[in-house]
Amino acid sequence: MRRRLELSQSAADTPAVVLVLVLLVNDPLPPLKDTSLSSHLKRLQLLVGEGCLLVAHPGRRISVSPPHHTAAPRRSELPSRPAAAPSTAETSRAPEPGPVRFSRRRRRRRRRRMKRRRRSRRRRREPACCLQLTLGGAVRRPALSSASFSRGMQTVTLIPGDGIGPEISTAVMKIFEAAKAPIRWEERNVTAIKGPGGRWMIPPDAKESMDRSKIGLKGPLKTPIAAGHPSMNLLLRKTFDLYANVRPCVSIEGYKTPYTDVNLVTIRENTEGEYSGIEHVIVDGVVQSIKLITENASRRIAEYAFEYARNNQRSSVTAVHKANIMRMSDGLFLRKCREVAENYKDVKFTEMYLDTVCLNMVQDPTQFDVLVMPNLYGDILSDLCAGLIGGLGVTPSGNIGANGVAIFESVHGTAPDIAGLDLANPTALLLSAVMMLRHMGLHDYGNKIQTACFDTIRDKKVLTKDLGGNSKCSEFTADICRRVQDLD
Amino acid sequence: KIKMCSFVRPFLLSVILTSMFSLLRSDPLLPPSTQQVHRDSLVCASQPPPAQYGGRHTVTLIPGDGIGPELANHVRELFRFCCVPVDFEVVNVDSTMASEDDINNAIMAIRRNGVALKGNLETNHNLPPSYKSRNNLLRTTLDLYANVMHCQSLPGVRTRHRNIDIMIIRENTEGEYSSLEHENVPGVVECLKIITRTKSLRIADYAFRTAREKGRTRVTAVHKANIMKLGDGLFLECCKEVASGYPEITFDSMIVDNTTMQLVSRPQQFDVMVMPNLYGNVVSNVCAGLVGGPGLVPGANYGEDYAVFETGTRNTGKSIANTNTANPTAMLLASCLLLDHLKLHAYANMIRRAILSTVTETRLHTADLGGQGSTSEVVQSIMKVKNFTVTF
Repeated sequence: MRRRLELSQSAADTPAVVLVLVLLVNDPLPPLKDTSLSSHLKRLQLLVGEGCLLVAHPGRRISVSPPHHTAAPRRSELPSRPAAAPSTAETSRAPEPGPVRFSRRRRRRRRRRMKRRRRSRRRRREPACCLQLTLGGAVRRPALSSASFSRGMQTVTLIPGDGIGPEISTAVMKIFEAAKAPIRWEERNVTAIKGPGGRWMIPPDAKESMDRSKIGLKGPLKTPIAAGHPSMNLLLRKTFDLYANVRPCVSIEGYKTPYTDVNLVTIRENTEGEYSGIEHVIVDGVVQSIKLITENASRRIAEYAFEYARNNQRSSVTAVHKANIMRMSDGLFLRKCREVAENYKDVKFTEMYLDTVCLNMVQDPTQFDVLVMPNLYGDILSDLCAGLIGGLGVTPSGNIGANGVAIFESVHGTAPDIAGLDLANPTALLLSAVMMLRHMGLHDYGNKIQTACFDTIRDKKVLTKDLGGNSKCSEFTADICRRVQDLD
Repeated sequence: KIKMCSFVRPFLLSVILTSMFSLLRSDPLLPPSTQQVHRDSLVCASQPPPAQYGGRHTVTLIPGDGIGPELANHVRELFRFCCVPVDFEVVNVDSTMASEDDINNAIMAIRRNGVALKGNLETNHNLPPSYKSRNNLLRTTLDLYANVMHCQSLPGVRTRHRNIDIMIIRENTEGEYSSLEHENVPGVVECLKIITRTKSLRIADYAFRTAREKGRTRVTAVHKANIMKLGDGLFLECCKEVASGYPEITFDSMIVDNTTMQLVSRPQQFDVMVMPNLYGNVVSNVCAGLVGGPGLVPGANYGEDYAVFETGTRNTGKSIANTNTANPTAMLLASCLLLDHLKLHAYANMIRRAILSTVTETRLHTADLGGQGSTSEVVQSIMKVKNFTVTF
């Protein structure tokens, strides 16, 4: 009997340990019904008691090798793959060939041949008769994992972008180098290309890099007018199903605005709502625009918001809505938030009308903590909060996708008028990169870089033009690098 | 040479003089000096109803929920004190009842009287969609298409930004507030946002006309046409069309998220803003917060035939109801707008002057402005203001 024990990437966050145990397996274990991590670990304990060889590969797999005499199990005996495994969107399978009509005898011989080939392939690949069990992805990766499982370099897809994008990306790379962060950058360009079906898509090498590394850092992208294709941001969003936009707004000490002590996070649903793009001209002069709210998307964003609050020690989550007017749509959103709140009793849940939030935000922003809302309200409120702390030039932003993909970006424009003149302010991209480090679990590097950045801004000696100084981008970057190295 | 009789010349002179008099002074009580006290006499599309029964006007009063009833009482008290020739017809609307009879009675009363002063009616959003928002119902039935809110920084109120003077004109009947929603597939809800050419042209025309009458130089249209290309694109197109007829007024447009960002960093750049319904809600609340809060700004809803006045941010104030801590300024300034609409400018200016002197000079503030005063103290202080007399 052979089974394969495979840890999915999410569960492999714990440091890889090589366990060597001797295990004797006689009877096949009953198929797993509950695919949670704890049940799999309990099962491992059972196996440990009987004696088996357990080898953990750094990153992905723990393969368990029982003694040689056991045979491979039938496919029907293996536990079914859990639903939360990496989606088939990642694995690009070639389309299977259509059925070919051969005689029955020929078909039987063909089947036996394939079975033999498969068996020999399996024997060749793994150590003789390994025991394999698939561990489920039911353990959802929290927004901030406690420690990266790999001590080595993490690959991050870097998309420099247009305009000032390349300069600020270079600045961020320099600062990361000075901080000796274990990040390996993979630069890719995204431009819209027409795919085989006539649909616009991002270049396949960028997609493949992103799927592999799962983490991306993106500079500002140009939004084309009358180019025939949708904006790149929209394409990226659709490709990777980036459903949550997270924008932490924290007042920067040293960059004075009328609002001090702002410390809130806006979590905005990024895929549906008012921005569904469905519009019709009913009759000449009457236009209808459809706002779409679905149960799944609302539940997903609410769950993300509460997970984020829990993982980042935030005390309350506020749902922003206009259910007095849009009873069914915002009512559905609100209901889903309430349902999810039941499972997170440690986080306080409140609901507030959009106009009340706007009114109170402008008078006293300290009363808010985490805000979760549909697309349009999120757009307006996140920009309002960015304005409170000093504008888009200093605001980080992250987009979380469905398959563990996360793209962190700077939300300001490409600023073509200062492109190439070494005048750009890399703070937004840098703070987004710090957010990315925290997401990956590299908190100490993140804190170091953030402290250096804030110290530079507080000092006011070397500031770029938009922050009130007249230094160049390279000087600002060099100052931060120096501080990072001093902090070591 | 035209030969005239000896008595014709003085007769002609008197006719000419009285006709000039009646043209220049619509209100016989209006002395010239009080005309320029506060530039807030709003012009609406319609004429106020003629005063009946000895020069007294009848106005519908809808107290509403929360702090509404107590503020309505203060308004009546103040009007009685100032001997304002206005009688209130009180129509109570119970927002907890499922039937719409109450609100229909109120609408009937407003149709009868032509003007109304209204408190906010609470909408319980946990009720099913068959229960429509009473406020929205009133606005759409009476076709009060323009909501006007004038946000000005007051000298005595401490805010983070100074010298704000923004007039917000918001389309009040269509847009996202059409209340057209359906669930085709379980778990998927669609909400329709309707933008029409006629209503967009109407609101743009109102905005530019008001800007011209008030001597404003710039109108900014707030939209999201980069995403909602057809809907907000139509709105923007209508605004541009109307702007071409007003060459002395600068017209520009701004996307709503950029607008909110600019409002919290540099609100002094805005003059008149015109926008569809939902963005109007957001922007008016942001501006109200910038000038000092929901207790300071009055709002007016104008239609072709009717006008309804209320607080700018339309808050029920449930949490502070009956605690005597609400700020009466917004409701009292709304009643001044009402008097301006009825062409009783002398009374309007007198009351406005008294309110503003209480807020700015005496600095008697309620809790929302950081003070210790109660509602009744503020109202008493208004009534005790020096030189609080109607000058005829």
